[in-house]
Amino acid sequence: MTKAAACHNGLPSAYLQKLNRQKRAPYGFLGIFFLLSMVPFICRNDYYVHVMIAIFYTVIYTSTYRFILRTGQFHFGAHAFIGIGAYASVLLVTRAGWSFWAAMPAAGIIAAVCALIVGFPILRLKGIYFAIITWGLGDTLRFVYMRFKNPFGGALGIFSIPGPNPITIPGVGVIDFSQKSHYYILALALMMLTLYVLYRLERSRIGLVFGAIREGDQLARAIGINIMNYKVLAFAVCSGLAAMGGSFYAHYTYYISPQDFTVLLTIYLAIYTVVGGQDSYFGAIVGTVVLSLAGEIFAGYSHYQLIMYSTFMIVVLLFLPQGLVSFPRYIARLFVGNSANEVKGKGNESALT
Amino acid sequence: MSQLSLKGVSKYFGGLAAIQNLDFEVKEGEIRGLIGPNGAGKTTVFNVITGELSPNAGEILYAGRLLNGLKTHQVAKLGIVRTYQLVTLFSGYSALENILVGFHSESRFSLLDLILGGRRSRATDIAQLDKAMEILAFMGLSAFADAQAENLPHGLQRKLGVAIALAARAKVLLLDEPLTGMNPSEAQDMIETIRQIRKEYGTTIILVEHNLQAVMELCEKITVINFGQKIAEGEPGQIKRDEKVIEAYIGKNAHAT
Ligand SMILES: Nc1ncnc2c1ncn2[C@@H]1O[C@H](COP(=O)(O)OP(=O)(O)OP(=O)(O)O)[C@@H](O)[C@H]1O
Ligand SMILES: [Mg+2]
Repeated sequence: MTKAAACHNGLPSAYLQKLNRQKRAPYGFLGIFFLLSMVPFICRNDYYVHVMIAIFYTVIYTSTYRFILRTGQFHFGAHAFIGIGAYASVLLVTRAGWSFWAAMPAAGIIAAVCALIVGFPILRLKGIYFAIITWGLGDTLRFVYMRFKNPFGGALGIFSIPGPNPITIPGVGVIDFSQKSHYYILALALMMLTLYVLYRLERSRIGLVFGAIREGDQLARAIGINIMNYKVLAFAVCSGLAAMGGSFYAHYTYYISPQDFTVLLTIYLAIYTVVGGQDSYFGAIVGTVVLSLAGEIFAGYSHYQLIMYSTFMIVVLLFLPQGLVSFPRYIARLFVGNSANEVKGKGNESALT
Repeated sequence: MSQLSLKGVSKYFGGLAAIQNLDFEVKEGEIRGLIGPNGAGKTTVFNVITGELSPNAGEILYAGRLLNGLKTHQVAKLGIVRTYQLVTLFSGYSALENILVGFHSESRFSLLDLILGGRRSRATDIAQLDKAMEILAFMGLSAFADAQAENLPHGLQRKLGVAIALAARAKVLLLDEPLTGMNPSEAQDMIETIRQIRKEYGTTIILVEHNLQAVMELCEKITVINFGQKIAEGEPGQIKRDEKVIEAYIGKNAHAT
């Protein structure tokens, strides 16, 4: 560290600062984990804890979904991989007798391998074609789950899924998943892990390459970057992480059915991403939190949820094309008197492409 | 022994022959000029070498290896890297980050290590930073390391484009009009830089350029094409006197002196 810092007289300060921030990041993630992990012990209302848990696994889905979108692929099959994760993990536990703690990562790996196999031929496809194929993949799987009662449980799904096996954590005691707070900690840990991996994929050296591919794919190729490899990598890693979220979901709700993994799930993720702001790392998180909470508040009107969300999305896109995360900047510009047009103009492209 | 050779290469756009039956050999460590009037097919030659376009006929050999059919990134991995006639950079990135992207293949990363961001990954970050600063210093861009590429003056953007190619370990550097839009002092600086690159890195350089004086000054040998066909090849002194070349240029272009 000192060598680079010393021999260039403080230059390049900006990049060194970035590297230092990356070095400190794990502590930041741990800090947030410990802070949030106190919540269920302060707020002992099971309903609120449940809402938080749902937000956590949904953030896993949305953030990974956003990363795939950012590689320029119009992904419409997030539900396929989340479903693979859920079914794989449940079957490994109920049929093969695995421990949840082995089944969950295995489910992630299975989904990642599926993404690899599917990814190479289809990631070449652009825009609507990729969307249709991934959507089709999700629906084909749904059909398979429905058609084959054994082992997928058919249209009714799989009931009485066991929760995670009890574990003993030294210094904390036995965690047997008899309480919501136990699930809360697990969901939180999974989310923080996912967010950390995505943070690295976005901000580290490899993130620099992902960004470069977005900045100029022609130049990227000309200097030897194999764009397809990077796309496949993002697709596999993100699908695997999302699948672990799906595995958690299954063992948390004790019940899964083909209806849990329809294209509607992906549509929600897309709305969360766009509303939050897909250009920003925090966009997927903000979008998920805000809309999930809104969904809970208006739970009585759940029939109209999709319509409300879509309307909200259109309103957000009109006024904040870069999503809710750009709200502070928007306000700041209003007050400084600087026209907000710049924010608008730039975001329009990103929101629509 | 020639390092890069084109044998009977043709490229058609519909009925238009952008290059036609072109033979062309470059030795290792050579600075070769490739000139011709506007629309002669110079950029197209680069495009078929790098695999951005596939030729309709002919063979392209690099160190005895057939390049036909390879993808652009594969050709680049072998060491043939180009710059573009219109400045092409990762414009939202700082100059330093542009160089770092050029190193992408060098970080033969263990993915897990990179994702977890452990000690080894950080050591690579610092090593790359040092190397990137070396390249920037070599190109005279040290002071602009943190500057956003799109905010650099035009001349420096061109230089940065070349610097990225160096970072990507170019063994053969294809420069498409690197002096365009430069004032005389910037141009002189770039000419000097090109010389230095060959001296320091032993890079083979093919130079497409309308500034003929610069080409004469830099290149040992010059290939002239017109309407996609080679019309002359030789040392600068020969080329200057070649009647076909003069004809080709006088008819269309006032650059010839
Ligand atoms: N992608 C393309 N599609 C159709 N025609 C093309 C294409 N690229 C080049 N051409 C044509 O091929 C011919 C050669 O073009 P090229 O760009 O190689 O010329 P050049 O020598 O680089 O010219 P300049 O000095 O103006 O850059 C021109 O007539 C051009 O119009
Ligand atoms: Mg050209």
